[in-house]
Amino acid sequence: MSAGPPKPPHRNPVLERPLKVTLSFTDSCNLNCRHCYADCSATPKPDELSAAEWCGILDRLEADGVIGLYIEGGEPLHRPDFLDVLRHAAGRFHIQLRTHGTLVTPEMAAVLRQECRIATLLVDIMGPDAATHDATTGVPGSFERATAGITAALAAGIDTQMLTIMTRWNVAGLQGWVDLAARLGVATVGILRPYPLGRLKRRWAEASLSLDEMHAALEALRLPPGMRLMQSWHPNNGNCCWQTAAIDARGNSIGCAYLREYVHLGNLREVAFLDTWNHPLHRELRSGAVTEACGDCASSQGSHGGCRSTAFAFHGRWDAPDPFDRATNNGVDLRVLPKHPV
Amino acid sequence: MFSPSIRYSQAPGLRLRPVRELGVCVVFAAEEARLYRLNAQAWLVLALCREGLSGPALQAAWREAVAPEDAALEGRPAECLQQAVELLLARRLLRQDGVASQEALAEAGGGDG
Repeated sequence: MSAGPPKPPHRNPVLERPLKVTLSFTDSCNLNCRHCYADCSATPKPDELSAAEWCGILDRLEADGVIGLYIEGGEPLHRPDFLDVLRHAAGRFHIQLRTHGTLVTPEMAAVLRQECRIATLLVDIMGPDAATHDATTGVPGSFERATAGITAALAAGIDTQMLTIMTRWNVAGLQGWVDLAARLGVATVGILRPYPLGRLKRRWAEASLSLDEMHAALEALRLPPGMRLMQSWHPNNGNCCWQTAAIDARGNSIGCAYLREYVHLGNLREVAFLDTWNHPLHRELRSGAVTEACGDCASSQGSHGGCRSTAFAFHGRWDAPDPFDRATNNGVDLRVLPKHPV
Repeated sequence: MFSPSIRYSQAPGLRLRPVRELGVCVVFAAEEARLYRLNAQAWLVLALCREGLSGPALQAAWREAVAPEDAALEGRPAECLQQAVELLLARRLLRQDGVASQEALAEAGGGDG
């Protein structure tokens, strides 16, 4: 019996220009998180883009067809000139701002809502209580200030979501974390996989769970009525690369914030943004050309191949299967991070 | 169905980002800080109404833009126009405003002729 015609290779949609861009605005922060992907310092590094440079990049992104911004850090609100940049973007882009929340006072929330017109505030809360959260951030009182920030943002009418990164440090408190979100009035929460980047990479063996432990934690959660949970494990493990790009605090085009230690497509002080979008490596990352992929996740997400950052971290190849997906884990122990040359 | 006394126009503060590769248009509504993804029919109506059109003028422009044999419309061009307009009005991406009666009558007469 004939095997039939060969199936065409799976590919992601090909965009000539990106729709969304992540801006990793600064590598500075007023907290000292033990998992910090950006390895932040208390003051901005001297080679970070200035506010004027960021505004010039925003103008370029708008002209190039970018319509959505996801802004993170470090902690963007920690840099004094951030609001100048955010005001420059206001009304021109759909803006999602990720923050740890401690600087979101009622006055700041009003500015974010009325002057900067952000669409969504995403606040990282690393546990259900001050003991867990403050142990992670290294700053006593940060939990109280962060939850007060959520309250202020909700009171100002901002769509406010709560995020956390699942680690061994907080997995036992995930249900309490969900209950905390409900008490605060947060309707959408996101539980994110850990990425072996920055400080978390150096403490990976201590922090990471096995894939089974991660799924067991997710499956044990009881959500209150009306609450929406975002999680990117199977069957929601898409390949976000196809529609997005990212720029780090020094103006490097890096494809995705989670590729920050692996990918350098060019610096926007020297090259045009769209030239980096068309870089051969960026095209490869977006393509969905992988040796093994999960059909369930491709169906649910409309993209193919799973996360390229975690695939590369564990296999050292851009076309490798994503070990955070049950269908393509192939026995990889996520608690053991292999050493690959970057 | 499309009165000459009604003028259709884009809501203020919209930014349209055509994604021709996918046959859709992503719209940023600055007033609401929301993104919408429009299918080709709704995208066409919104583009036609950029400067504002009366009901009959919108129908005429739609007929001119959409080939009758367009398979995607399944032979129901008027119905598809109606659905697209209703979708855009529901999402507040399209405004409908009354126009002065003399202007409306003149335009209706011109359209019929």
